[in-house]
Amino acid sequence: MSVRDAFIFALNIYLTGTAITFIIWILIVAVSRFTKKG
Amino acid sequence: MENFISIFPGIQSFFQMPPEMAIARLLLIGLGFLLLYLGCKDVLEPLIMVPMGVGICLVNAGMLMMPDLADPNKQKLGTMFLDSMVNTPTDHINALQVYFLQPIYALTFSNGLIACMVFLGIGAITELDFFVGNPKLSLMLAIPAELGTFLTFPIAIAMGFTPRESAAIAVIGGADGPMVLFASLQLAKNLFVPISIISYIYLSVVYSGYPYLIKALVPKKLRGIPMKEMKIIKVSSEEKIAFSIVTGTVLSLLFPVAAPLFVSFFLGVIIRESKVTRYIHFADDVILTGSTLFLGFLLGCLLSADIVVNPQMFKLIVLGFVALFLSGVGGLLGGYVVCWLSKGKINPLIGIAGVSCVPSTAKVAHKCANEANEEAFILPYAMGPNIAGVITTAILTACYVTKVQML
Repeated sequence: MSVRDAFIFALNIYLTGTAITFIIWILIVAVSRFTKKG
Repeated sequence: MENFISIFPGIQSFFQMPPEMAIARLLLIGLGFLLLYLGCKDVLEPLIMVPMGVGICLVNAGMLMMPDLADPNKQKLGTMFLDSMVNTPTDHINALQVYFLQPIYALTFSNGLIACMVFLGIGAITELDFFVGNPKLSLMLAIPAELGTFLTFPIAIAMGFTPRESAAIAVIGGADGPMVLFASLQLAKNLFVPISIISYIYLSVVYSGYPYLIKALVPKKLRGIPMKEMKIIKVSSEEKIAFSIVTGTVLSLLFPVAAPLFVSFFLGVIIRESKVTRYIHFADDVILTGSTLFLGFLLGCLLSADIVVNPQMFKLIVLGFVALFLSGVGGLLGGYVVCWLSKGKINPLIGIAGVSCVPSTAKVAHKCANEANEEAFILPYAMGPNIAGVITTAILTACYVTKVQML
């Protein structure tokens, strides 16, 4: 694996992690609204 | 003279090994004393450094020539502590009869259980209020604080490590001991011992090292922002339990390979929030305390001279430093961004708490803010990104473990 490929691979991982973190944020907001309604 | 020395096999073993190994052994005995001393003086994290220092010191002192388990007719230098290199079931059974720490190593280290037990304990002592109350701010700060986890991977590749080894090394940037253990056990068992030891030593140094980074990159005026205008939203236990079970389920669905870590952490959180006092004491006082003691002691016992003379060790020392340095810089950059977005109401130091290493980085941020302005009390705010850092590190570790195995 070249350094360039490694950088792209790591960037891919980082962006995937960021996207999943965004999902977690949506989940927290959704859970918060649901529990407050309950 | 030779006959006299043979009465003491530990001393005799110095003359039966190559000179560089003998010197490394002596240096490691000294290192064990040093870590123990610094741990007792609270310069380094005593919970890990005290048992690790004892382990390093004694394992390198207590070496002797003993029968090789793989071929009993041969003799090899070893200890009565443990053998981390046994592979076959027969060797495992034989090792259990000889080495006194082998049962703990076989049952808790080789399958990653020790990391999960530490994580369960961390979950049980984690206060989620600020994180669940302010998820956007917390997660926004945790993402840039993973800069080291991102950039260390290509740097490690450039230094000649394989993708699996590089991913295990990159996880040091997440500054979360259990995650480093888990990733190295999954991806680079050959480097598990040096990676884990280096990461735990660096994580202990974070408390005394990061203040220099903060003072170098953040002016005193910004360090002293008191954050008085920001309210801490009170979150109910039901909300935190609902968040834990939903997030744990979703993350386990996305990354089954890291499900043991997720389940351990969120089980700990749910135990805390369900207010079952006996479980909370068990998770904190028994599981976390016991697993931290054995983690430190066994890691120390695994650090023998043959690992130190490995040429990759120096590269790992450099990469560990680079990973945590970059994550610290990334965290402070994230702090600057939220400070700017809030028009100066948020102290940028809470960004470095996103590096994780619960709760050291949050305490460092608070200490530095308090030194700059006595009215600045930012610890509760720093705990949000601190917890978010644990979650983002778990996510990135799961991404690495899953994707690197596909290469």
